[in-house]
Amino acid sequence: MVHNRIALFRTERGLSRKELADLIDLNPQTIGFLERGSYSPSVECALRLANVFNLSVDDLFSLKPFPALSTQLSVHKKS
Amino acid sequence: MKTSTRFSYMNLSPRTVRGLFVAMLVGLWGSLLMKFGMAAERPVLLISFGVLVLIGIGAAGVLFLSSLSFIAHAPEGQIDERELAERNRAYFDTVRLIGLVILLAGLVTSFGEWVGLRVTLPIMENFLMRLFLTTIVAPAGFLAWRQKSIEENAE
Repeated sequence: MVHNRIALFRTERGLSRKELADLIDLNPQTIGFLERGSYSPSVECALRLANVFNLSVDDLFSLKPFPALSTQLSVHKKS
Repeated sequence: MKTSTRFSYMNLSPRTVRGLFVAMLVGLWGSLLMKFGMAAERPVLLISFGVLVLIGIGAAGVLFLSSLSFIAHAPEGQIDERELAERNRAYFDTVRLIGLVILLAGLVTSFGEWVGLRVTLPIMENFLMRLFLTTIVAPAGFLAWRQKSIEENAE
């Protein structure tokens, strides 16, 4: 399964599912499927999503679950 | 992607589409089975046959106008990659269903007379009409079923 942080970055940038879908030429329903992890995107779709958020594909998708934000924050504070 | 085309289709829920698909299969194929017993032309049988045909054709018509039917029949440029992948699976399921129906029809044609099922030309015409309608509409039905399994996995 491919894990992703699409919902996190979409919300952070104040985009609705429809707005994001329009940017990368997908059906808004597909954004929902992607966010829930019910659908793994093609390489092209993953690159387009990463491009919209100005991130690398690695930042957006991972084969391992992403750590929770609270965990990341506490690690960041300690460092 | 041209989303405006989709608005002319009926936005039915996958659950409704699944219900219509079952109604279509029961109506169309149930009425065909009844045709074998209609030699005596009993009025009750004739009325039941007519009702089943109406249910089957009505359900097929509504199903054909649903938004899932749009996905099933749209040109590739008008649906996205997820819809295209799901459509491929739906067509594969449809081919398997049609294959099964043709196999059963072959068995009835070859061995049906042993159990009193005689295939006549009108029955064959009815069979072909039902096969055509099922081929057209089944992909939308299978798409609805596919969405059900995705929803269950997401829970």
